Amino acid sequence: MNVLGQPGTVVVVGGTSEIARAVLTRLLLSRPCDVILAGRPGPRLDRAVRSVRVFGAHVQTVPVDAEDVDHLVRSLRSALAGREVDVAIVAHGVLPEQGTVERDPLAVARLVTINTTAAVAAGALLADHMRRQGHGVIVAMSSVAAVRPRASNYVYGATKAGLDAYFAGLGERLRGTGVHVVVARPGFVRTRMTASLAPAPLAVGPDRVARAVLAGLDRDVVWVPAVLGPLMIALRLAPRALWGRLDRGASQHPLHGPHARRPRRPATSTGEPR
Amino acid sequence: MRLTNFSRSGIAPSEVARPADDREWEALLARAGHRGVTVRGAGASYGDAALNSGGVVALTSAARRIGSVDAAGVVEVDGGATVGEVLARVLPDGWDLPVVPGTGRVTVGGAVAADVHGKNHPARSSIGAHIASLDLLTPADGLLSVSPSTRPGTFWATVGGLGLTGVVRRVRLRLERAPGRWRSVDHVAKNLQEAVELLAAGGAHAVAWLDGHATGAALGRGVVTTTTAAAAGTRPQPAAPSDAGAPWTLGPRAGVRLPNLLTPAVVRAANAARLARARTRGGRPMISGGVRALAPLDTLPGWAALYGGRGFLQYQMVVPPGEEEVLAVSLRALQGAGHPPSLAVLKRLGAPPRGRASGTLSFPVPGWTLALDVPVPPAGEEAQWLGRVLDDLDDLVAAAGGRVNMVKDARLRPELVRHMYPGLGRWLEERARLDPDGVMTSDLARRLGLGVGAGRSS
Repeated sequence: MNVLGQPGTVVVVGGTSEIARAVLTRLLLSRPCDVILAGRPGPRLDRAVRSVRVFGAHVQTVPVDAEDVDHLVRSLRSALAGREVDVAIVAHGVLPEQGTVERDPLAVARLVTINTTAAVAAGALLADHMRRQGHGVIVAMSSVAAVRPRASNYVYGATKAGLDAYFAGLGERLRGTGVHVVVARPGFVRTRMTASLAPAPLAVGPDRVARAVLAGLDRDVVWVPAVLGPLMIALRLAPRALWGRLDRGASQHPLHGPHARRPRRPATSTGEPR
Repeated sequence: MRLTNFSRSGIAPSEVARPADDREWEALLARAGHRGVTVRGAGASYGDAALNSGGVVALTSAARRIGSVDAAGVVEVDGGATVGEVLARVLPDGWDLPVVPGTGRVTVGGAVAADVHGKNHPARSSIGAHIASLDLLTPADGLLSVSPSTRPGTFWATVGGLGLTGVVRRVRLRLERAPGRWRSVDHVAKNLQEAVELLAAGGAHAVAWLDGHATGAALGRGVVTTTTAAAAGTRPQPAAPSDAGAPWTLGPRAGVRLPNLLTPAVVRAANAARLARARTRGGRPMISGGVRALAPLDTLPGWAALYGGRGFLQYQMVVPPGEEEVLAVSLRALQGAGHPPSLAVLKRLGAPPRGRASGTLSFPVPGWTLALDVPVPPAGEEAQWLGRVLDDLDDLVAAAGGRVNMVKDARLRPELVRHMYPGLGRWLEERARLDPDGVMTSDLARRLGLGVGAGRSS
């Protein structure tokens, strides 16, 4: 990446993620570059490829499934071989309908595989590649949900907490190597993944997240919106009773309280039904 | 070790080596890993020509001998000796370098790799025109002695070759007799048009300092300084206190990380003072003594630190005669984007001496060269917008038949290099002959696609 934040090659894990697409859009508006999109093959990935090509960027797709971590690592490794990678974004993930998933041990385990295991494996691969280059930036999409578990969202939150701790630690490990890790912790982002939920207070759109991430490429943590930083740090210390009440208050919201419409299949950051 | 560049805009972790002689250099090149070796002299490049992220950076400082000047004015110097050291040795004997870059800190090897030019290019060309021969240590063919008549392909690929053809071990420079005195005159130019006219009329050395913040009718106003050799017998004025050498330095070991002190307000104030000083002198000549006044970039060592943690970048381009409008557009574009240059320097460039070739990848072609210093903005929208503006300027410069100086560059697109430098194909062939495995490399080479089979980069 040059001194003005224009990369030559960008790698995205979670090629159809709307947040990743917003980041790519902003980068490509500044200068077309090479893009490697790793994601689940299908019409959404094709659409993502087309939207990148519109900018005159050269795109390579790497068909992967986050449930098959072995295959993901192998495919990504061969796609990166011999390439100079400037920026990598780990943006894939599933937001489950917690009620349906939490009673099924295998479903919970699958969620951890997708959201955490695949992410940290990709992170380890990218870190090794960039360390040998002596430069690079890894952006890991975590979430405010990672900060403190809530009864209404603890499964998703846990998967993000694992990802968050891994990438934060990785960033510490890589100090002085020229490789930098940014952990992004957005709050509620209005995307396909959250379409069935009522927007929480301080909800933002994907472009806002993209702008915050790109402005914070030299920082360790990026909260979106920024006020969530001090807010979550304070809430992390809130007494359990208060935290529980805040959480219950949110889940009493008409749109996803007891009178919510019937359970739907969980949404993914890639927007495809699982 | 984490190395930086002159403009303090880049940091690259590398393994640093310091080979002591030809044998150690050969051994170093032979055992180079997949990130190759970058040769580094003073590290005074503005961009990433002397940086090698994840690789080996080999310093040339072990070899800095300067021989004595023979009757014909030729002196043999080691590649690691600096231009300042050479001048200090030869000036007292009445010899001078025909071409001196803006800073004396650069090594002779670096000066050759950059094919440096000074304020007298139309009269004296760049340093490549004053090299009798040089010794180049190449990965494929070992130590070669090359000159414009012996292996000219290799010679002219090395002059301006950014250190990518091999290691410049020794250079035989052709000096010239130093004038006893220099006579400088400052003229105030109301706008760019006037600056161009004054430069066109200028003497042996001519340079225009332009106010990068001036807009509208005053766009490109500045001070044109022309310098000629003074007649013998003219008395020099007493040297101003600032000529005695900088009393303090902001070198890298100063340890203080400053914020950007060169804010627009500060720059505008400094520009106003510069103009006022020139107006007050009213065009009276200044005579300076035998020792050339300190190179402008050396007046305050470490001044790049004033730009703060993000450093600055320099955009230097040249456009052929008749394309002066591009100069005005550059200034207006940067001002309009909210990034007026804090330093803008305009010079004239000429053609190579009759019957002589020039560096295959060398920057100078006849025309007008404008060098613009811009502080690097904070990451995000501002930086990306500036990147877009400079990319568009590149297209304009290329379309006008000009080029951007890769020695100063930190952000040019690789596609533009082929467009701007028609000799690129020929140069790459010569480089592949001298270095088939791509051992000689740098962050710049990878970024601009100058490597031998190197991966694409920004």
